[in-house]
Amino acid sequence: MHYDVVFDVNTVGYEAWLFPGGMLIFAVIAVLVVRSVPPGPVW
Amino acid sequence: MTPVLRAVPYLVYGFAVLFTVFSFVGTYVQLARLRAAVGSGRVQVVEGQVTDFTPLSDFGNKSESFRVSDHWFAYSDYSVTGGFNNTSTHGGPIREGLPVRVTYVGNTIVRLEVADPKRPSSHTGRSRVLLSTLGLLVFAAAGAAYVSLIRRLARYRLVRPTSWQHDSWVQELNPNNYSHDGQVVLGGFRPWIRALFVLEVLGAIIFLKFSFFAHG
Repeated sequence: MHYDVVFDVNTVGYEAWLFPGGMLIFAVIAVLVVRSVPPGPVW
Repeated sequence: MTPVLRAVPYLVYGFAVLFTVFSFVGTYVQLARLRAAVGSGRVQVVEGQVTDFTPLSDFGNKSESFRVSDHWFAYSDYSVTGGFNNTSTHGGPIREGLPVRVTYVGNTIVRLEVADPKRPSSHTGRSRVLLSTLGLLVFAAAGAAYVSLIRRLARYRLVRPTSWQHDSWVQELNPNNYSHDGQVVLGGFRPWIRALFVLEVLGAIIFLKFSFFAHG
């Protein structure tokens, strides 16, 4: 009987990095943009 | 701002970092252990038809289970083990009567093979869940980045906003509410603000589309 592999512990992994990796890149860019606001007058 | 309020962002950030580190270490150790077991051949294989299939129900059964020959397997999308955990409720491939070959360590499935060419594509269901989550994350992240940016820009407001939420975004983006210098700074950040709005709307559309309008 021919089987199709639908899960293999040796081939999973890289996609698990997509979300945290993408969110980390977004967070770093967001922090850099927010911190680039020049210091302004204080009330 | 009181010292307690000043510490809140650091506490939230610290908790997020610790949670991420512990989650990563916890799941990676399990994955590495399973891969080592597979590499050294410490696995068992069972082959046959799926019987006693019980699907996960979001409001009832907290896990999906089935039997092949005399071995019983249970797993859940909510329990990350490093092994197979994609339930049919969330797009997984297991169905009653499906011919399968299961390679397992203990009670964890490390390799799953199915023999029904007419089975629905599990990839489609999996992608739907992933895209729906991605949409929600983009929506939340863009919103948080926008609020952070507006709070920084509030340094240039003519009248100090009283609430941490400030006021409506129409007021937040109205140049007349900023000093002369502030209007220049605000103008410089408009492309970023537009990009965040686009991400916000896109995230919401992706989330809604793949959460509620993806059936059929």
